[in-house]
Amino acid sequence: MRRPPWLPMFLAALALAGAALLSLASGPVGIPPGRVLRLLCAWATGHKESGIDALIIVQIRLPRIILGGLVGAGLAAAGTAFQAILRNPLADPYVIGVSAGAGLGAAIGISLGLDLAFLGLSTIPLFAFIGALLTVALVYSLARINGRISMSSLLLCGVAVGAFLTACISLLLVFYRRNLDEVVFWLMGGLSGRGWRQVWYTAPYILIGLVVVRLLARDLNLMILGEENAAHFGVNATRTRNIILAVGSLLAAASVAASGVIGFVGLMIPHMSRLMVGSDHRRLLPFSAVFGAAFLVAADTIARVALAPMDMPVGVITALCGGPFFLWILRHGGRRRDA
Amino acid sequence: MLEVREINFSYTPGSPVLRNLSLKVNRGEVLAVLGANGSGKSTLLNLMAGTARPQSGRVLIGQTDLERLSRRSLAKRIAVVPQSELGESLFTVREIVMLGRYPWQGYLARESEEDKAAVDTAMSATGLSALADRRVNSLSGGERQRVQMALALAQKTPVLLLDEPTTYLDIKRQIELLDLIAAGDRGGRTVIMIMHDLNLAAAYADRLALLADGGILALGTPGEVLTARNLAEAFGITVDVMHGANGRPNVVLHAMKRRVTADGPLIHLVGGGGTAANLIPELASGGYRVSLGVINQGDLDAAVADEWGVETVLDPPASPVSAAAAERCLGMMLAAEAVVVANVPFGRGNLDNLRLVLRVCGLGHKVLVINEDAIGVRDFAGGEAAAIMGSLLAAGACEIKHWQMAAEVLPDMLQRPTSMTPRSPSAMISVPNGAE
Repeated sequence: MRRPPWLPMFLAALALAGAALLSLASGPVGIPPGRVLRLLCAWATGHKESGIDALIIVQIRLPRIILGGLVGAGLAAAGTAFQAILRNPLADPYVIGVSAGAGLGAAIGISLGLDLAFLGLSTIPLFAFIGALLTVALVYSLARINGRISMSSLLLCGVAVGAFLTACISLLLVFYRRNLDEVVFWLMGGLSGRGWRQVWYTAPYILIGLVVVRLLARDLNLMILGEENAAHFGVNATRTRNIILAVGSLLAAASVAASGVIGFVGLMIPHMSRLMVGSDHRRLLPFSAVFGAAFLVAADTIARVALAPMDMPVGVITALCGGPFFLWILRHGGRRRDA
Repeated sequence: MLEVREINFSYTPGSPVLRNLSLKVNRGEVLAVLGANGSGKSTLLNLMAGTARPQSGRVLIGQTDLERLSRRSLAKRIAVVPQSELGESLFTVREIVMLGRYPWQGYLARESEEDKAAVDTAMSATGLSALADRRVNSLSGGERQRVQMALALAQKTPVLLLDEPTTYLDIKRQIELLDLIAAGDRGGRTVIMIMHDLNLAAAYADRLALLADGGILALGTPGEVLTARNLAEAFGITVDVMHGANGRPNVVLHAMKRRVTADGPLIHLVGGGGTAANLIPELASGGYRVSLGVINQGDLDAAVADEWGVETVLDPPASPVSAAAAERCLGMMLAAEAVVVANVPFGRGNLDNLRLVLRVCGLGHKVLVINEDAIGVRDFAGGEAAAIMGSLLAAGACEIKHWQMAAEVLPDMLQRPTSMTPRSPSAMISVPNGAE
C-alpha cells in the first residue's frame, strides 16, 4: 500500500499548526484555543481587539512562536543541506563549528555595543553571519590536505575550532563583564523575551536561505552520491558546495542571532525527516523545514509551560525530548521502511 | 567520436602518469582499456570524462574540446559509471535513476514525459523495474551496480565510460551486464570500459587498448593485442593464448607463482629476449628442474624465471656477458644433465653464452638447440654465432624446429648414455677467457 506523496508534508504542516495553536493557548494565562482562533482572525483582518488576551496573543506569544518556527526551519534546513554536501550524517551547524562562530560574532557585536539598526535590520545577525562564514572558511581550509577534503578531518576540525571559539566567547565575557548577563542569557539558547523586532530582523535571512537551498535541491540529490559522481551528471560540485556552505552558515547565523545556540535540531530533524520522506531533497528540504519549525515551537511551548513561571532555555528541551524520540525513530523507522 | 590527442598528465610534477598518449575511439565501437595497476587506465578515463584536465594535449568529443563544454552539456554527451559506490541514501530505485536526468532538467522543472520514459527504459534494461520502489540501501551489491548502470543509461548519452563495471558481480551477472552494454543493439552508443578480465574484454570489445607505463603498448583487435608477448610486457605474467570458438583469443593464465618443486633432471636453458618465456613453464611444469643464464636483468625471461623460481645467472641490463657470470653459468651447465638453447638472437653481447654451450658440448654434455628461425637470421655477431652453431651440431647437439617439441625430445636425449666423447678440437677453441 503506497502512501500518497503529499501525506507526510500535510501531516508536518498539521503538526506545525497544532503546535502553534497549542503554544498560543498555553502559558501562565490560559486562553482557550477557540478564543485564540477568534482573536487571531480579528487581528489578521485588521480589527483592533483590545484587552489583555489580545495583547498576550499578538504581542507576546505570536512573535515568539513565529521566531521559533523560523529558527527551527532554518536550523533543520541548514543541517539537511550540510549532511548532503558533507555526506556525513553527523554534520550539522553545531558540530562543524558554525554555530560557535556565529555565537562569537554575535557576542563580539553585543560586547562592543554595536547593535545598531542598519537599513531597518539589526546588525547582530550580520556579526553572527560574518563569524559563521569565517568559521566555515577556517574549518574548510584546515581540513583541506593536498587539495582534498576528507570528511572526517572536516568534522574533527569543526569540533576543534568550535571548542576553540567557545573558549573565545568565554574569554570575551571575562573582559566585558558588564554584558555578562545579556550574552550568557542569549547564548543559552532560548526564545524568551523575543518579540516582533527579532522576527523582522531574522525572517529575511532565513527565508532567503530556505529559498536558495530549495533551489539547489536537485544538486544536493546528486551531491550525496559524492562530488565526483555529481560532476559526472553535470553538477558543478565545487560551486554547489561553496554556496551551500555559505547559505547554511547564513541560516545558522540568523538562527543563532535570534535565539542563541540551539543544538540538536539541525542534526536530528534532517534524520527523522529522511526516514519519513526519503532522500529526495525536493521533498526532504521543505518537509524538514516545516518539521523543524513544528518541533521547535512545540519544544518552546514545553520550555515555557513545564516549570512555569520559570522559562527554560529551549535548547534544554530540544535535547531532552529530541534525544529519546530520535533514538526511537532510528531503531523502529529503520526496520519498517522497506517492508 | 572521442579522441585523445597527445596527452600528458601528472598528479605531481616530475612523475608523469600519461605520456604523450593519443587514442581515437570510433562512433559506436566498444573499446576496452586494459593494463596493470598504475598503468594510467583510470586517469585516462577521468580525462575522457572531463573530470581531470591534461597538462598538455586535448580531449575532443566530435570536434569539440571537452574544456569548452560546461559540466552540464558534457553530462549530456558522456555518462560515467565510476568504480566508487553510490553511498548510503534513502532514495528509492526510481528516484535515484531519475537523478541521471539531471543534465536534461531545469532547476525547478517537473519531470517530463521524456524523463519518465528514459528512466523506465533504463530500469527495464537493467532488470530493475520490479525494484522501482525499493530503497537503494536495501539492495544487494549486484543490484546496486545495476542501479549505477541504470543511472548512466537514463542520462542518454552517445558515449558511455565505465570503470571496471564488473568488479562486484558474479560471473553470470558480469556476462549479463556486458551483454547489456556492449553487445547487440546499443543504439549507436560508444562504449569505453576499463576492464581487468582479459577474456571478457576479448569477448565483448571491438578493440582493445593495452596500457603500460602511461602509454599505449598495443591497440587493435583482441587478436592483435592479446598476445603472450604483450601481456608479459604489460603485466609481467606468462600466458597461453588459445583461440576461442567465437574467433576471439582466449587467454589461459599460468595463475599461481609456482616454485619448482620437481626433483627431475636439471636442465640449463640459454635464453634471452623472451625466447625462453614459454620453455620455462613448459619444462618446470613437466617436472624438470631448470636453470637459466646468462641473461640481463629486466629481460622478460628473467621475469618468467623469477615467477617460476628458476635459478638464474644475471648480468646488469644491456651489458655483455661478464666474466664472473660466464663462470657461474659454466658451472650450472656442467651441473645440468642437458643444456637447451632457445631460439635466441645472438650478438656480440651474448655470444659468450653460445661459446659456453659449445664448451660443455665438447666435454660430452647433452645439448638441444631449438632453431625455430635459421641461425643466419639470428646472427648479429658477424657470422660467429652461425659458425659456433655449426660446430655444435657437428659435435652432436640435437636440433629441433619448435620449442613445443623439447618436452618430447628431452626424455629420449637424457636416457641415451653419454657416449659422446670430446672430438672436434675446434670445440675447445672458443671458450671465453674469463671462464678458464
